[in-house]
Amino acid sequence: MTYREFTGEDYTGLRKELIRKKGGAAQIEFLDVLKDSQQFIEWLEDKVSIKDGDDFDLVSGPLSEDEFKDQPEFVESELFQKWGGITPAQACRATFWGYVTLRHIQEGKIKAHFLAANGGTLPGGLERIDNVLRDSDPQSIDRIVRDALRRLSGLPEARGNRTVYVNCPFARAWWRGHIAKEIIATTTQADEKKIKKTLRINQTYWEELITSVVSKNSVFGDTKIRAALIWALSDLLDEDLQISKKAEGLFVAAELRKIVKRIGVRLAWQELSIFDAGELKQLFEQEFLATT
Amino acid sequence: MSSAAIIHTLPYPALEAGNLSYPDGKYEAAIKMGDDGRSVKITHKITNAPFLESLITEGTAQFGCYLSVPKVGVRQLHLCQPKKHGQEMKWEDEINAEAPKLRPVLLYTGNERKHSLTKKDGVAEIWQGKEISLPEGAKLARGDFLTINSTEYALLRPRLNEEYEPGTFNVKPDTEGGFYFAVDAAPDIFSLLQLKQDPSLRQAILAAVVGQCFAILQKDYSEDDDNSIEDFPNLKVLRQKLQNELDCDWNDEGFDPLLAATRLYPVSISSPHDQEEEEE
Repeated sequence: MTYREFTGEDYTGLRKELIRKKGGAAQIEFLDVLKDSQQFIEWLEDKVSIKDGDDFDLVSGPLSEDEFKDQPEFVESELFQKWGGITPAQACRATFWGYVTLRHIQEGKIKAHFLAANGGTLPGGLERIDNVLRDSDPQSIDRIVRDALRRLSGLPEARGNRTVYVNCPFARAWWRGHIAKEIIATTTQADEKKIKKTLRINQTYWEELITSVVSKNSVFGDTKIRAALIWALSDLLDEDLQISKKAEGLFVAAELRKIVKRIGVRLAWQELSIFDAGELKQLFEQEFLATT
Repeated sequence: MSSAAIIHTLPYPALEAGNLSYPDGKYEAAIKMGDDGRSVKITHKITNAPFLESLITEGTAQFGCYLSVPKVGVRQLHLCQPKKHGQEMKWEDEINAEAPKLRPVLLYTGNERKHSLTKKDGVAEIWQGKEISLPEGAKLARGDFLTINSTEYALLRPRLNEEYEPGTFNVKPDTEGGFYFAVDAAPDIFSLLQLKQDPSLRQAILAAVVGQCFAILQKDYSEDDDNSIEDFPNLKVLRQKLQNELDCDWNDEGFDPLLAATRLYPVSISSPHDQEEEEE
């Protein structure tokens, strides 16, 4: 099944045009239309054509700005269940997720200005847009345009394709669901709730994890190896899905990077994927996840 | 880095580029793409590395190949049957986000064992007389990365023609053993296409070649022609790619073969602004 998405040529061209000149007319126009969902829809529909394909389901209820930026687990689960037919090949494309986000705006599930919202408790999208258009600082304008594009679909032109998996909330929901599903299928004994919690520790941790998964020559590219490692990490959560004191240090992005690096060194001289997930989990627990 | 340091990076001798452990050893892997664009056949050959050859014969070392599609987080190891030198690898459409990368490999798949190396094993002097421990999964040999070419490139078979003047080539269709385009190329163009040097120039050449292919298809494989693409899966895949990426077909009125080819293979001209690193 192939789902509808933006045409590559149009949408890639639009993104490049929007980041070409900091504070330029194109960026100001973009932020202006972003304030109003209907204007944004018309503007985007005018600029980008749609490639034919099947329809897909949308999230059931409207989301608040906070729920869109940082989707609760139940929203991500609902979305992944609805989007089970999407393939990884389609799910790594900004053209696809851009269209998914547009459809949610078209149906009133989210508002266009949510795309410009900051993280955490900082100003919302509408406030940010108003502030920068008033101040007219090119750097600030450019920053918000890039933030909005990342939320819309990811912005491969800056920092590579990983922004699709990290910054676009809908794409992030799918990839978390996909990886969790893979792990459960590979390990069969892992606790699904704990696996999902490990993938949702925080945004920085997810960024480190998914970057490792999709990097060239990464050890995490192997399904069994990443399943075993995430399984081992998830077992360090208690029954309330909290991180124990002694394991706190392992759930920090920098530490995950070190662990992946050390596994990489081992992989240089021994292929680990020939072992089963249980054996690998034991190996990782003994050699790479020692807790204090 | 000294030659001794290169050799001792691993706890056992390995045959791979930059490693002098088997001074005369060679690992060759030949790859042939399937017509469906979703499979390859690989044949492996190791020579002048007697220790490795003995393990292969014994069945405790197996050839294999890694298939990587980083964009979708896929890295798979496909092993040959023990004692076999050939394999066929297939992959699904659902992970076909970019041209997969392949790396042939020879792995030790027996139980961990110790072995005292001698000159007869074909190893460098620095290894001779040493006792090594081979763990299960030891990477005994690694070939060079092979990049699977795009669907269209699977349609192209470059042929060297030394009579051609530098920078020239010609494209002709051939239906022997499945549809493909024979690209007769001067040595410099042949080298560019085969060895994937100079990506930007290669892209431009590819656009020109594919443009010619589309012109031939438009002329001889239109809906009114007797020629049908039904028997050629790779042509059907190309048609699907045109529809997916450019929403057009060589049968369309006004279809411009060269324009379509350059839209599929635009030459990238980067400016300093495009390469600017964004600050967070």
